[in-house]
Amino acid sequence: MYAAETDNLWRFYGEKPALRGLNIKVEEGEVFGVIGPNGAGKTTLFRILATLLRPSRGSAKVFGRDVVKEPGEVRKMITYLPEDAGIYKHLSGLDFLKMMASLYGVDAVERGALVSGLDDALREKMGGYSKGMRRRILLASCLMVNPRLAILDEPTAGLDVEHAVYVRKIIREYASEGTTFLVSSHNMLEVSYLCDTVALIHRGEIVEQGEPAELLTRYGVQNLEELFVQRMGEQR
Amino acid sequence: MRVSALIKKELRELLMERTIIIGVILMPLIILPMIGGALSAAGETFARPTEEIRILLIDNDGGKYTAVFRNSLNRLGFTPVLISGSSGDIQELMKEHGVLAAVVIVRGFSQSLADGQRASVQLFISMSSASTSEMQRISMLEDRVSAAIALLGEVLASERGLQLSFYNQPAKLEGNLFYRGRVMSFAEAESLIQLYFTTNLLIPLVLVIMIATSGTVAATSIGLEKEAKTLEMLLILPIRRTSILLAKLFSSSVIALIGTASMFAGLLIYLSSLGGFVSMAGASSTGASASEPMSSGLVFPLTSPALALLAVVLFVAMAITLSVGILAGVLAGDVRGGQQLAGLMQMPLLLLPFMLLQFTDIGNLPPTLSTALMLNPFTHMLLAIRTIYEEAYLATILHIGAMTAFMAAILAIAAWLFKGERLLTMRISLKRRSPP
Repeated sequence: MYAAETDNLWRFYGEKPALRGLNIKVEEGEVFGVIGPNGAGKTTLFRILATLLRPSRGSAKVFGRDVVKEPGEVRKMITYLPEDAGIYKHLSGLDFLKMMASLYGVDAVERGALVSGLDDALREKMGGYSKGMRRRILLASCLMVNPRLAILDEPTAGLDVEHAVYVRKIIREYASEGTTFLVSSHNMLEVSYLCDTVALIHRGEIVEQGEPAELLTRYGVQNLEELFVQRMGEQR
Repeated sequence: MRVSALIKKELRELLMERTIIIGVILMPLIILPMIGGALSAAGETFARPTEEIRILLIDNDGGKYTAVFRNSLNRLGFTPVLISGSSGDIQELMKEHGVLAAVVIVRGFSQSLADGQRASVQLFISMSSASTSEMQRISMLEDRVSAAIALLGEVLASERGLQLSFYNQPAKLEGNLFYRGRVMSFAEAESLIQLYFTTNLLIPLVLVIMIATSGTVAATSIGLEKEAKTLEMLLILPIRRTSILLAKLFSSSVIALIGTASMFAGLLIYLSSLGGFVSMAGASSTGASASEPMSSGLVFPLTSPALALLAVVLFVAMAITLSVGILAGVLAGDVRGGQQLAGLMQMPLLLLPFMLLQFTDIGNLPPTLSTALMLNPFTHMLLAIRTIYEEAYLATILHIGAMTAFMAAILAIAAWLFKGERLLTMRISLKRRSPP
């Protein structure tokens, strides 16, 4: 059984297709990276798997559960960190973690506090947090509940080096403990470091997929950035 | 219960919003007592019938009947400041003596009357503003001077052996008005019309404004999630969407309850502060003393059942606007859009019945229009307030029932919109689209 699986997945916004017959299979326990230019369909794919959007055609499953037929069951197994997710400015970091732990029915506040690494700042209102602190508390809320699949859309976007390194470290730690990750990023170095499998998506279709090292060998390029530029050039 | 964590979050986010604190909680406590105080103060400025009024009496005649007329003015509550034979600027003289009215008796006044010819008296009034109280003061001065002239006529008639007061009114007009099963005098009816502006018109008007403000609470609640980009994380929580909606509604209702309490307190202060004005209105038209209470049923009844029903009406009305606000929040893209849309949805619903019911009774409207009005929950709010005023409490309860049914229907639509992806994909924008 795959952690996430799509079969001929289409999604239209009006007449415009955002996904065109997309097929992916994410193995349980792996970190699956989705890369692609802006508007390629990465966020639409994540939103469908997170039960926020419905497929126009085809199917999407999380651990064998259909996202349309059993959205409640899917939500129990996943957490989703949107690219531009915000915070509740009047709640403290600690209150937010308590709320999330309560809603998932787990006793995980201490773990969340540890993952966030925010120490005393946890008692402050989140409205005063920097962008990096906000991302860390949100990531902590996503991971502390031990989801089977964590969907992270651009987890380090806009973060400085220190915060970005911290977030990547946490993701790797959780992956080693068995959490499956579906991650998107524009940072190819990050993808190389984090992901077991990478899928290059363009105009709603998978144009390449494989292990990072294997892809570099196959195309005779130095890094994923070169591969990305080469494959995108071929698509134009 | 896991939803309690959401309710706690909702309450904290809502209660920390300045617009909600000011609009829903503080405004009723400030505006209602302010209006009540202003009306009460306005009532104080109306001249009382028994009040002594200083006027300037410029006597250019000096004859026998000038003294009689002066005596008549005294009897009617004037304190004339006498100036004999002056041809100066009347306005300057009024300023100099600190009076707002002057009566001028022209030369030959007594001689004309002695000859059986109509004489002339001039009245000059300084008008300080174009206000209702000023109009009333002018009218009162005119009435009293005319009454003094009538008294002078009676003296002249009695000198000729006639009882003028008898010929002026050979028969006494008596009788009563019937208003909604009650019997009241014509004087009481006049009082009722005066009180109309302070209770039957003003209470619903103020409530309309306050309730419209509270409708934005729920719109803000959802708009905040959209604007702060927390909505997506909220929607993938492992709880039912209806639970999220209920948490929002429950929290908004708590705010509405606080708002209702605030509005109710403000309204009580308002009604209490009208006490002086109300008794004044009654006294001025009935001739009764200012301390004499009005007939029961003519003013808003400050009894326990009436106040309890008023509180329920206010709460349900607020809950309806919250439901409308939730709809607006779902449909709009951000806080401002949600608030604008909530206003746009609520104001016609509130204002249309308010305006129509000021002019006529719903039973007098064409059947199509009255049916359409009855499909508006705020019509029932206004009718419920009116029935409380009339102490027809069974009708009040029926109107509250109708309001509750409307609220349930609006909530059902909001719950439907909350399901699936509509909350994320549906957008109604009030902004003008830029040309391509």
